[in-house]
Amino acid sequence: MLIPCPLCGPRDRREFHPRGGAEYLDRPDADAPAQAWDALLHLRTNPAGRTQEVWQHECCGAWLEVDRCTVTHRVFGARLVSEARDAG
Amino acid sequence: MRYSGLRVLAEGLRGNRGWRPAWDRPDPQDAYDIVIIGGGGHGLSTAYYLARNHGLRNIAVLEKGYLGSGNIGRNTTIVRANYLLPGNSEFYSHSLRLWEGLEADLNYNVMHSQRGLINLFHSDGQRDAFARRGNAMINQGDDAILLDRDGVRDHLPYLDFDNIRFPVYGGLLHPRGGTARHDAVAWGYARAASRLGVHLIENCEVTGIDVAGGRVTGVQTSRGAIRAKKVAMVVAGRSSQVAAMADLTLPIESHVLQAFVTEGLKPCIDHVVSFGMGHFYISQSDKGGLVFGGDIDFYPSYAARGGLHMAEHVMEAAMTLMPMIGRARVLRSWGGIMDMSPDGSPIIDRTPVDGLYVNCGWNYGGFKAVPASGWCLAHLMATEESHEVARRYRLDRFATGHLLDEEGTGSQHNLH
Amino acid sequence: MRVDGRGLIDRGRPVRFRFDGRDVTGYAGDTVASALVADGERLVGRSFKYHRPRGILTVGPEEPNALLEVLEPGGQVTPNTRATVQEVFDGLEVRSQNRWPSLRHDLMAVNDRFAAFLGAGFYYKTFMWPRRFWEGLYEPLIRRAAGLGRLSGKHDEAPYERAFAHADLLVIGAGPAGLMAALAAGRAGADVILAEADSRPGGRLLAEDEAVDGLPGPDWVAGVMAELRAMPNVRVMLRTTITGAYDGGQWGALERVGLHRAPAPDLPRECFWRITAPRAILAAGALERPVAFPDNDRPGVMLASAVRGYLHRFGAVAGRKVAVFGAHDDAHRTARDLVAAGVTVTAVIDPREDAPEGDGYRTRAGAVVIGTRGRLGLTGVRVREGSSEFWVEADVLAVAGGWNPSVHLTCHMGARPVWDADAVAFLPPGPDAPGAVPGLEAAASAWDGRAVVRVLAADPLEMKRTVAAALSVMRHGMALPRVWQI
Ligand SMILES: Cc1cc2nc3c(=O)[nH]c(=O)nc-3n(C[C@H](O)[C@H](O)[C@H](O)COP(=O)(O)OP(=O)(O)OC[C@H]3O[C@@H](n4cnc5c(N)ncnc54)[C@H](O)[C@@H]3O)c2cc1C
Ligand SMILES: [Zn+2]
Repeated sequence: MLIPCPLCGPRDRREFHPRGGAEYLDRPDADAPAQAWDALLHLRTNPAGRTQEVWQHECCGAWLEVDRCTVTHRVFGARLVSEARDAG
Repeated sequence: MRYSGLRVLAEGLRGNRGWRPAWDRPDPQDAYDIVIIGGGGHGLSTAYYLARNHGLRNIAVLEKGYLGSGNIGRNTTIVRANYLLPGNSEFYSHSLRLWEGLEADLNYNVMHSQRGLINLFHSDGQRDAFARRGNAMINQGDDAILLDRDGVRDHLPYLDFDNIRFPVYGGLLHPRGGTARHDAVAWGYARAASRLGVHLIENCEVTGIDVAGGRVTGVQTSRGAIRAKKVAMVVAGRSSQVAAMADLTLPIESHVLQAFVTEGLKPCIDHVVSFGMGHFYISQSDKGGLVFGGDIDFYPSYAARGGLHMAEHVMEAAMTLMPMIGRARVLRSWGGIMDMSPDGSPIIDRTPVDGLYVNCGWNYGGFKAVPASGWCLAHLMATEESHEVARRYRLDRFATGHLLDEEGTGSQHNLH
Repeated sequence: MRVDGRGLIDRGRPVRFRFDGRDVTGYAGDTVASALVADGERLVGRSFKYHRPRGILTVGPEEPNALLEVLEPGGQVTPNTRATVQEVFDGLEVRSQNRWPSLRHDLMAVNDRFAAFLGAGFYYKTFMWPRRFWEGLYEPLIRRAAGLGRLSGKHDEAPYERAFAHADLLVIGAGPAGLMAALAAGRAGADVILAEADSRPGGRLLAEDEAVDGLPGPDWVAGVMAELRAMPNVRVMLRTTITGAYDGGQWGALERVGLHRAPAPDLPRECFWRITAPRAILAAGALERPVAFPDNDRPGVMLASAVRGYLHRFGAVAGRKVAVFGAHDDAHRTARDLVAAGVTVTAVIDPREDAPEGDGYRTRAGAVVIGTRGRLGLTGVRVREGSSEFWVEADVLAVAGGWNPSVHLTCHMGARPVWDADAVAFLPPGPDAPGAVPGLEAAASAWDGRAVVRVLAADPLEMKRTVAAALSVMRHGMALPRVWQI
């Protein structure tokens, strides 16, 4: 699996660490109820198909939002998490 | 028809014409008291124990492919009871005792082989951790022997004891640990359940779960709607999809785990051996293939096949630990979709939907759990009480903080 | 037995090796199997369960019977080595396996007599009582009987290598289809890796008596190879098997670097390559199917493609009297080739009523083989023709059951091969099938240059403009013979 890091170009999967679905980026407020934190830390929609995930490129340190299919492992693209957030 | 050596002889003399299919293949009824979704090891054993232990009869197991097409037929067949934490210890201990009587109970030879399992350690710290684990096992009533280097050498002379990075310091021997023939476990439970009247329905994919007024009423399937008073989701790597049919979100990620087998060899590895410094475990099947595996591929996946990075890693670990293996040739590799839970321990529990139960989160280790998992889920469904040994396998334990983090790595998905 | 004037072996360079303690002489270019065929050795192994005597069935890596242990001076052993793949070298020592005490007299062959009690899965139904006997008695017996070759238990201290390579296009197989694909892509300027599992490029052109462009097949191959070798953008990897298709255009490849030579301290045995190529062409040819009939596993029963392969590539025939069985024109091709080489063909048994008449051999049209005799080596073939049954003398029976394309790599990501009733074979799944390997095209046969053009046209590296160059090769390729036909 090759992931196109926007900073480094297409790199082997071994250079990256997966962190979970992109919903992981939606952190609850610090004083949110415990269920919200349970949902963030433990619950997963765990979709079978195309989905957005958070990966880190360990070489450059960038956090990426990767557009990937969990059934075929096809990678459709990747962008910096910061850019993904700005784009909404 | 009872199976026995005499029967094999008698049939042989009569041209083997008297054998009957091992289980029946009925068409689905409109309604059952209990529907089990998933015809893997856990689904089949649940159905069997519902019938055997609780006298229930009106039960169906719905399997989307063929019986045993999932992880039950893809695992590396290790059976052990070497857990540390209360909650896990008693559960796997119970399971191992069931394994020990399984052939007699099912009248099917599942080739449960208590050849001994050796977990190797490669540092003083690891030795302490294994000594502690061994004591916990003994306290639980199971068996454990701490071997020093020479003790290991007596059993496993072929290891690279003086590997420059990972010298072998010793090992924890679990004599009652071993293997079983994985397909035979599915077939044995299927046959025994069928003999007690359980309907095993293959090529029947559940596509929806019907809920009315907070209570489950039945399922939609590729072979029509089926009403049911109680429904259990026992679908391993597909747990999230099936739970979503009832609007539930589970603390599960699906990952692929690979396994490998070599061409047939004369006996050379007599135990189950597990490397302490990398994820690698190996045993030799009765047919002669070396069966081994390693870590998950480490990203969510529903492709039942593995990546080259992990295949290479596993081969490297094998060569590091037992360099003789370099002359064996890999015949096949494959992957199974694993239901990974955040703390590495399973869930056997009710759900917020009345009459709907869930059994999932088996991670790498659900094969050895097959007997006890079915036993305990059947107990829960029949009596509405959690079985004593599965009390801690609660669905809400992540929210309440009652975690069962056996490996001590932390309770988050990406840490396992 | 060797046939004069045939084969691509180097008769000026004899090579001596040992099989089961006996000296055998072959020639440079031989495999262990071809040298044993030439030497008249028919018994090479025992079957897994019933220990039935087995001989060489094929001429390639698909060999199921001729699995041997390779012994090294320090006591190191490599089990389960295909005799059809292992090349001979001076001092090579190989040994048969899964027999005791010897290949001819194997005590485990009693299993064959008790076959009625040892049917498929009999062990699930017995050995359950008493419980303790499983680990103590039954399982050790089963384990000892099972398995084929032996590991020595010694550390494998030989060097191995790991390497990486990148290309625009990976061509898998250097038969005529693969050679054409590599040539087309190479001329079009693509970076090409051409991987071939055999020690010699050419595929079935080495195993058949076919001319291309007026040249004998092997000479034509040599010409194409010369052009490929001269291209800096083409890399030819021989003795390299593509082992798997992985995500992101990655391919596993195992190269046998030193297995065809005497072990030396710095000589790697094998090299595992990770090849990254966004596109690949599968030109792995096809495997011939055997035919089912009672006792079709006797030493001396061989695939017809193997009989021709040993004749044309190695100048070797496994016997003096050959019978051929098959409802396929390859049965007759086999008989013709043998007759032309001066070998006696005792009959071609062809179930088709309108089977072609033989020239120099006798066709038994509408007939079938219903049995064989000769436990350690075939001596005759039982034939049924209409209402009569009779024996045909033969020490070799060549069977031609049609061809199965080697579709395996196209199925590595879950796609299923597609049954084609007209072709009577499983064909590769299309590139759009669910689970198809992205970027992999199967070249159906030698003359199918379309796959190459599709690949080049779809290539992101803007090679469309050079498709014309590829097309010229393709037209040239149209003249290629069909070296196998379903
Ligand atoms: C490579 C590998 C090695 C392993 N090694 C070991 C080991 O050594 N020891 C050990 O203890 N464990 C091991 N495991 C884990 C163990 O195999 C699993 O935890 C266990 O088999 C899972 O339970 P199961 O048998 O019920 O799952 P499965 O056999 O996967 O059963 C689930 C069934 O549900 C069916 N299903 C899914 N969705 C639907 C639907 N919608 N409708 C109907 N049916 C559906 C599936 O088709 C499947 O048959 C290993 C797993 C793998 C993949
Ligand atoms: Zn980067």
